[in-house]
Order: sequence, then structure tokens, then C-alpha cells
Amino acid sequence: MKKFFSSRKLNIVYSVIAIAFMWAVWAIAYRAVGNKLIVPSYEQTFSELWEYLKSRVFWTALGNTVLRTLIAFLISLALAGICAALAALTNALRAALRPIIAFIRIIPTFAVILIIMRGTEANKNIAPVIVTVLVLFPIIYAQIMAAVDGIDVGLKNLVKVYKISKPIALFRIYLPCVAPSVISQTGANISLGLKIMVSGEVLAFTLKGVGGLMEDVYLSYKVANLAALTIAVVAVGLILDVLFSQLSRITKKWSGNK
Amino acid sequence: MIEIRNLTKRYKDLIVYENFDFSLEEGKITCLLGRSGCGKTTLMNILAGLTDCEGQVPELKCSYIFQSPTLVPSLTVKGNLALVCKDADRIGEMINRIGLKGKEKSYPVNLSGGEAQRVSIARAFLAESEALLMDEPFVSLDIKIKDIIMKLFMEIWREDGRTVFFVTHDTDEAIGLAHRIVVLSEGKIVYDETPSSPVPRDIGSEEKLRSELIDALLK
Repeated sequence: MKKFFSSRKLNIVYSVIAIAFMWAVWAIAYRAVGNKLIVPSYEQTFSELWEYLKSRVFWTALGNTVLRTLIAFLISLALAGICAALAALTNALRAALRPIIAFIRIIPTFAVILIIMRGTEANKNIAPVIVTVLVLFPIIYAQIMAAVDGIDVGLKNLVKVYKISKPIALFRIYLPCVAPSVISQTGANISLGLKIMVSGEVLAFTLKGVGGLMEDVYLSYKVANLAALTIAVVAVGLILDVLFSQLSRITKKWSGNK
Repeated sequence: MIEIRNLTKRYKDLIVYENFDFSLEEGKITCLLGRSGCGKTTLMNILAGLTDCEGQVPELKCSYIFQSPTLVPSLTVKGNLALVCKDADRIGEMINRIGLKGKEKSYPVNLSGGEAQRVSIARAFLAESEALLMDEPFVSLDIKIKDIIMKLFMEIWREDGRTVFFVTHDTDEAIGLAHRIVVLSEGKIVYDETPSSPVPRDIGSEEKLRSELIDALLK
């Protein structure tokens, strides 16, 4: 217990050192560049951030962005789960899915946004979700397939020898084997999703979203506001990462480690 | 009798078995003894339907005790046994039998190696099968635990009376458990103890058998 606390305290110290380092880089860059339109001061940036935190528009935009990110994550997870289940059934299906997944992984997001944007205001809200799904889906699919491939051969033999029915094998043996690995990556996937979502919103100029706010302040040369919004997104991303990483506690008892 | 006829098994250019004949006496424990890489596990997997081959091999409904316990990590002791048996009373009796009363709700990660292998043995006996196959089931256990679990296995088997086929490279395990010991070398039978003997054997015949088995293994 004592060791746990000391290592935890050390981790906090390391984190504080890393934050101080980034702060120092910012301060040096600010002095070196000497142009507030390129690198804003941190006093000005945090002052703008404080103003945002008091603004209803900001919270609405942030809520919309986080909600869209969660929707995009859930769609990606569902699609990846279905495709992985199909790929796990036969090698033929796995081979057939390979070029499709590769195409989705490679397709330029900007092209997708331009295609979707040729329409109404509603598409400005949908385009970032589609782009986020296109980025997250192949990643989550690869994570699930890696977990499927990592299932103990002994368990596969157990299913064959004892002729355990397919639904029981899937839901009581294979899925719980795959779940800990996939769930442990949920936090990282969601924070990556948030990053893509904000980029998508900037490109699509989604007004009711953090990306839309960023695009707006960028066009008005409000660089300190842009930096403030970036800090807010990073903070929300970190919070989501930490919150969803706690999910892995649920599956801890299933893992092979004591 | 469970009979295998003209079995041929190749891994690319490597011939493991060629026109191999083998039989198991029903209701007895047969042991296939051999050095590492002689094809013991391959034969076991062929009987279990895990490996394909050419020849006449009966399609058996099997129970299998693997080298490692191979328990489902997300299921409790009871849950693991329920995968092969729907009768809760039988599961409860078997848990008592293997000395794990009070650990029904434990996950495999919280069991010792010996406890996990007991669950594996219980699962094999709870499953309805024509034959019980064991692939070096005691190899990962320390000598004290191994002795306890071998005794437990024999106790349950005496009541169950199922046909058992197991492979090992340990002569003491073979002598301690099997009615009939067959020594395999490079895909061929080099020693076959027929007719089968009672278990336990008397001390004199055990010593003679041990020396014969070691000779056969060194051939």
C-alpha cells in the first residue's frame, strides 16, 4: 500500500513537471515570436478561457461536440463489433472486409466533408460525425481483431471438444475475452474521437460546436480565444479519457492477472 | 473397443503417423508414454477432432483435460462447470468432491494451479462423453499437489468408470494411473502392455514394468 502511494505521488510529480515544461515552451515561444496574433500570452488566453466558462454559448457548443463524439464512438463501436464478428466467422469474410476497411482508413476526411457539405445546414452537424466514424471505425475494428486473434487457443479447443453452442461460446467465452482489451482503450478512442470531431467541425463550420466557435474566432483573428478553446478541448479530452478508462475496472476480474 | 485404423498424419513433409493402428479398451485407463515430439499430443488431438488426418478414426464425444487447466477467465468455478453440465445438483456435488466448497463463486484468476486443475478434472467428468482424454494433465503441478490430484482423479474415476486415454512422458504417472501402458517412438508403438494390469500394481511388478518402460523409451 505504501509503495502504491509513493508511486502515485511520483506520477503526480512527473505530470506537474511535464505541464511546467509545456508552460515554459509556451512562454519561450511567446517571447521569441513576439507577435500576439501568432502566439498569445497565457494571461490573455486564460482570461478568455474564464470568459468562455461563464458563457452559455460555450457550454452549449461543448455539450454538442461531446455528444456528437459519443454518438460517433458508439456507431464506430457497433460497426466494428459487427464487422469483427463477421470476420471472426470465416477467413473468406475477413479477407473480403480487408480492402473495405483499408479504403475507409485511407479515404481523405476533407474530401468526405466536401461531399457531405454540398447540402443544407443539417449536414454541417452530420459531416463531423461521419468523419469521426470513418477515422474511429477502422481503429476500433483493428483493436477488436487483435483481441480476437489473441484469444487463448486452449479456449478455442475447449469450445470445439465440449461442443459448446455458438451463442454460449460467443457471449460467455469469446466476448468477455475480447472485452477487457477493447474496453481498456475506450478512453483513448473517445479522446481521439473528440480531436477528430473538433477538426471536422472546423472544416464543416458547424456553428453549434467547439469547432464552429474555433473557426469563428480564427476568422476574427482572435488567437487568444482560439488558444483558450484549444485548452478547453484538451481538458475535456483528458477528463473523458480518465473517466472512460475507469471502465476497465469492471472487466479487471476477468483478466488473467491477479 | 475404440479403434483407430490406418491412421496417417503429415505436417507438410514430416510424417508423424503412417498406417498406424491403435485401440483403447473401454472402461479402462490407457496411457501413451513417449518422449517430447513423438506424436503423443497429435494422436490425442486427432481423437478429440481438433486435428484432421487420413484413416479410420471414430467420431467420439470426448472430455478433455488439457495440460493447463484452460478455464474461462470470465466465469466462476460454477460457471465453468455449467458450460458442460446443466444439472446444478451434480455440479454442487462435484465441487464438494474436488474440495472447492466455498469457492464456487471464485474466478480462475483467484485459484491456485492445483485448484484450477481440479476444476478442469471436474469439468471432464461432468461432461457426458464416451472417452476422457488427458494431455499431460499433471505436468505443471508441483510433486505434492500432483500426488493429491492424481489420487483425486482415481477416486472419481473408480465411481465413473469412463474410458480414459492419456499421454505423458512421466513413467511414474503412467504406472500410477494406467491399466495399459503403450510406449510410442517416432510414430510407432515400441512397447505395449497387454493384457492390461490392475491399478495399483504390486510393488514387484511396478519395478519390473518401470525398467521395461525406460528401456523402451531409450530405444
